[in-house]
Amino acid sequence: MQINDEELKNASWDARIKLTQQEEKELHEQLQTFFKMAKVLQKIDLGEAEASFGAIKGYNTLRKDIIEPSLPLQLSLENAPDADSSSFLVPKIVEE
Amino acid sequence: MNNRSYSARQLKEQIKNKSLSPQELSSSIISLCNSVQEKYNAFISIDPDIISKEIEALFDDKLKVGDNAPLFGFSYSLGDNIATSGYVTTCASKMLSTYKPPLDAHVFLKLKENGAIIIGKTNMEEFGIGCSGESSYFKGVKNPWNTKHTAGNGAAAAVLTGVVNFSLASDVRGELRQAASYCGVFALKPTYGRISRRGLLDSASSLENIGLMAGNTMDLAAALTAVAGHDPHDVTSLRSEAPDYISLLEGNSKELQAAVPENWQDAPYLEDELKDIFQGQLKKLEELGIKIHFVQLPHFQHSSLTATIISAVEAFSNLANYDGVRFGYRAEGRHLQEMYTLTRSEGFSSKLKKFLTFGALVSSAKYYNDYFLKAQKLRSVITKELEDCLQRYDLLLTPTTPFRAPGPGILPGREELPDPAGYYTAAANLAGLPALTYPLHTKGLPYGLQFTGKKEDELTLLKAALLLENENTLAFPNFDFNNQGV
Repeated sequence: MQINDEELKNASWDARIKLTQQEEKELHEQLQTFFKMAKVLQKIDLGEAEASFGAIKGYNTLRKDIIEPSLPLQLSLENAPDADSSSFLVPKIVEE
Repeated sequence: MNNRSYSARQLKEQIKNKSLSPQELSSSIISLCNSVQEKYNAFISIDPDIISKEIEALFDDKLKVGDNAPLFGFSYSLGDNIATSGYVTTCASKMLSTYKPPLDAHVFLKLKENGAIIIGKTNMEEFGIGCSGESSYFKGVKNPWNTKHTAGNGAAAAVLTGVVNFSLASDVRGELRQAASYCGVFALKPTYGRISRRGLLDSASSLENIGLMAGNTMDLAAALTAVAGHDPHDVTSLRSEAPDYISLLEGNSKELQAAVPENWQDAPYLEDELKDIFQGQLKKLEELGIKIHFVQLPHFQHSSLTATIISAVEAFSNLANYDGVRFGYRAEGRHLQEMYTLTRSEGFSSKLKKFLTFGALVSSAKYYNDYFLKAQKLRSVITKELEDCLQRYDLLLTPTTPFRAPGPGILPGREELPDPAGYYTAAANLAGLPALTYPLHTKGLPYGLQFTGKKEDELTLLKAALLLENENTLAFPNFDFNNQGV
């Protein structure tokens, strides 16, 4: 199976990543090996097997709905690349 | 001085009778750390002030750390994706190179409570993904057996050189065990949820947990006893009580039955020398009373492929929050979207960028059913196959990795999808089972022997390792940093 350039560009956009030409070339090569090996997935009879989402069944339990203290505002903002006294600051969302 | 020649138990005595001053001990440990760092690049952070303060606390009778604390005098390191508010926690990435977490990981708090001294934060692959020594922003870790080869991560190099008694690091598809195998030390990835994951900056939540490395079985058991147990603040934490592994290790062992996959020799890049060594170990185990049974595990061979797909998709999702808004590196962009893209393109390594793109691809609408969904179904099949096998047998035995530590010109599977180093290790992550690697010291670089066990049965793995350790003399190198060399 061959992935075309557009598919790769769409996937990297989904990951919000810009690959260099060299990286695109290397990933194409890796994917060729991957798809060759992954052919086996199409051949294996998985019967009625259900998809598994975790190593422990039912681990994702909810805690009791009781309000507990959360991270203080100042501590949350401490690592921000840009912030004022109460908010994270980011560039505007539209191009100039 | 190193910790194997100068054990925590001896140290405890010297601190107790005050025949050693805190200053003497601090300067000795700091100088050893600096030598290990200079030669092998094992650490990302070492803070002499923190080390000195921790050591002073051991000597201070008024402080809470009593000399009866189980790990009193033990030194350890944490992988740099385990949160510590006193040290930067970088995940070996430019993205987090200055990040100081607001909270400490559960394991850090437990170890402090138990009297252990943190020596530093160890180097690793970026976000703990892989073990080939290619993606750390702080450059790779050199293997102390042969510096031309990778150590896999700094945790293993720190244990091997004796600068720490034990190390904690994460394991996604087997990275902890692979590095331990490359460096010839012990490592245990416990059952998923046995050790709290609170404070682990993970890349693949359903596969990854914190494990331990040490230079012997008893240190591994002591550290596990300190950090295992339920954490109400971690929803993935097991609710059952964790036992005192040290006291249970002293008890008698029943006769163990071990399974070996019939097709264990099918691993890509499997080295011929390892085939002979592994078969020799099976004979030795039989002489020690462990019965060996060859079994069919037809889907085991697909575990690395399965775990690679799942971990890539989970990393694509988990690492989405590294966007330059709330923490970490930020690149300048003309608008928000450009800022996101440039931040991630400049903040992540080339290897990680390709891996995340791969994760986005196999979870996209076109490929989801044929790859991601199939991998999740295959995970169920592999888990059932292993659980059925471990209903009948106490252990599953395999090599840990098919080859020795990769080095220049011999990098098996460099940047391959799936990673061939995970051929034997990934199954335990998929099924959430405990797995231990026992070091096999040979004439060259070491190999590892892996025991995989039933859920929550770390004890059987430790007992099997102790049985072998008592029979074998492990040939750890003698590091004499004063004379600059092994």
